[in-house]
Amino acid sequence: MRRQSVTQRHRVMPTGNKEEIMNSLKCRRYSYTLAIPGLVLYLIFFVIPAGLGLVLSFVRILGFDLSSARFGGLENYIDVFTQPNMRRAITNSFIFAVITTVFKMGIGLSLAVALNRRMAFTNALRTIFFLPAVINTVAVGLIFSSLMHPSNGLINAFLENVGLSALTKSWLADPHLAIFSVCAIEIWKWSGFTMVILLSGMQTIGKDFYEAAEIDGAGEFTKFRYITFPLLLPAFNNALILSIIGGLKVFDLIQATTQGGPGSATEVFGTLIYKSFGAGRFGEGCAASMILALVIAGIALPTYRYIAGKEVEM
Amino acid sequence: MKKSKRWIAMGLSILLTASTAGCAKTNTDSVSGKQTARTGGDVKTLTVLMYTDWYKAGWQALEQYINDNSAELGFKLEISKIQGGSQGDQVLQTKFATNDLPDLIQVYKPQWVKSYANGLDKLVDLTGLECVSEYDQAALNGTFVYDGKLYAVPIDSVVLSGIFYNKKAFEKAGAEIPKTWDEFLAVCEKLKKAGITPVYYSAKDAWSVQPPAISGILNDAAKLGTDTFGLMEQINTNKLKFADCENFVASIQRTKDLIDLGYVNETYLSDTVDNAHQALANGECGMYINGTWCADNINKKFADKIDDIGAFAIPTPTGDNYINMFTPYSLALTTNCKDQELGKKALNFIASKQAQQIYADAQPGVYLNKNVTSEIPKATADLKKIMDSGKSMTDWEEINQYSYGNLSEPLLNYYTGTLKEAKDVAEALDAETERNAKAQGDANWK
Repeated sequence: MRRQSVTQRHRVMPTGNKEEIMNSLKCRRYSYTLAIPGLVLYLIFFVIPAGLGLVLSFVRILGFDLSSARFGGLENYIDVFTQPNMRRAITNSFIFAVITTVFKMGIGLSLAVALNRRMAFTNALRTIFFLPAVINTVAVGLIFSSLMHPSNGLINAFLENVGLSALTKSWLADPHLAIFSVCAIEIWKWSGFTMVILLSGMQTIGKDFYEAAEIDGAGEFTKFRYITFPLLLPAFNNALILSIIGGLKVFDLIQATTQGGPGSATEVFGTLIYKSFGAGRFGEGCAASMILALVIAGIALPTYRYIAGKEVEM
Repeated sequence: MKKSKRWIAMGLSILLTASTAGCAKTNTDSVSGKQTARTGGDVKTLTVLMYTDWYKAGWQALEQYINDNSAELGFKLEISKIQGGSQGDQVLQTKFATNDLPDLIQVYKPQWVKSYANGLDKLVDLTGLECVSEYDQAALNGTFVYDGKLYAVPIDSVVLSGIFYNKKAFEKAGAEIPKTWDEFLAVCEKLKKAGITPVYYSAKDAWSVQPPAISGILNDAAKLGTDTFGLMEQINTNKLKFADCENFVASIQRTKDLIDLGYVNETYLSDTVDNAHQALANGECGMYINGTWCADNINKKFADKIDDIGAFAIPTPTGDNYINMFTPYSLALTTNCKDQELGKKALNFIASKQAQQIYADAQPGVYLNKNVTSEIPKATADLKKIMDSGKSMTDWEEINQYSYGNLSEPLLNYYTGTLKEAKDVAEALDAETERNAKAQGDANWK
């Protein structure tokens, strides 16, 4: 059963009475008036810069040499796709988005199910699992760079001490391994956040569903499959979309741990854009940002709509 | 009740908008207020802008001297600092673009202002300053004297690049300072046999892989009968490619050979510049290739070990060895300074022997002012001797118009196997140069 949206409900409220219509109009004006400051800020700091970014993506310019600026058509877009590291950046971005999304959702869901019951230390455990999400990403990068150092890092030292020397690696320095190591850090950092979103969704599910299921003799797995997960879909959908978007546009964690290296081994779309801007190729940077926005929208929107279509009303 | 709620809400919204605008206004006022020389009795205040990491002991001492003696000098300084690095570069570029400039500004060099900020017209021609007689004209040409005009005076010390070595480690291994590449490899072998890491790379700080590889291009310049200015003039105008610079490509190849021969620390991709300084100071490694920042840092952190450190030029197969010289930063007067005569007077003083000596006493180093003396570490003195003998050239990356600072990425791709040949690294640099030149619409690349 599709849920009726808030706007649809608003639309059917007035019933033709003149006074009610006037009240409704006043109510709307009141809402719009309050929204104006926010809309103005949104216009100034988002819509206009985004529009200018789109314009700049068609301009050839190096640095702030405005005298050299000229209309370049699609040249910047062609440059983005012919960048030497483009293929690697796309591959890494998708590897990062897929791996981190799968693990963050899996671990987040497991933690949410485990901590959605009254146990000793439930609140303490929820806080502990959520804590990594509030740590500054640069600090996380520095900590893990140190932990993952091949010779002085605690991870390799631990593996050696427990007799697993064969598993010691150059976690962030091996070009074939580095992107997966960064994925692991991202999963560690954000699984707790996913848990919180899913936990809040679970707590809106009424106990009567479970009581009815128990009367019918349903076990734990059956209850999860037929009650918890379907009713959790709105929260699950939000967490999933946030994770996909975060994964595709990742920049901060990569910059804090590997800066896209060694060489360009962990280059992602975000670092590529940063390098274009850093080199002063502002048009190319804007073009790359536009492409990234389209890619994210192209993946996130259909995914959201697909899952939203499967949502059920409580 | 409903009405009063509405008015309260409206009032709060207006207040929010007004307070935001108010913040912006305050900021604007405070910024523009600093742009002019302000009068305080007979002493005027000149505003100065620089990167935070350029405001070291030298500047601190000089600022204090100037402000303590402002009545006699007729001016005092108000120094603002902004974050360095690429973000700082962008702030400076924005300031040039919007003409939001202080009275005096410290920049890399006038060519940077022209190439990256398009703001040379916002710097005042300082030709005729008396202090210039205290400098070798050749040392000023190309950097401070640009397009026939003196756009800035030098501030801070020269940085020289070479191989820093631990004398005790050499002694233990029975090694001598090498002059040719073969001798260098022999030294590496001796150090390795003595249980010492011969050469330390610190690729976690990606920029630090460049100094070992860039020296070869100095031999290419010499081969062409010119210096790095002449060579880069050809590259900046697409008459020469990096990939065609044979000595450059060969020097890149040699830096990889060191890794393949096992002469470099195994964890070099995870090690930092700080690790390198520590390893060199403690004799855990025999050699580290970098600028005189290395000696300065060891002097600061391991002062008791600084005399164990010496330096020599990176050897080439023929023994015709040059060292790379990073010129001091540039201090320029902007057209925004209301009292330009006072601005010139201030720069004339700052570049004079008296002020430069105060700077050098607080921050020892190699200074371009001929009359300044400074207690420098032995390693820096070793490289200064080479510079004084005429075997140095200005760092080519600084005068590269289109791809400054992008060598480390292809180099590391080469070291880790993504790029197969040394020439691929040079070609990647050529490709980056071409992209930047075309973005600027340079007719030489059409």
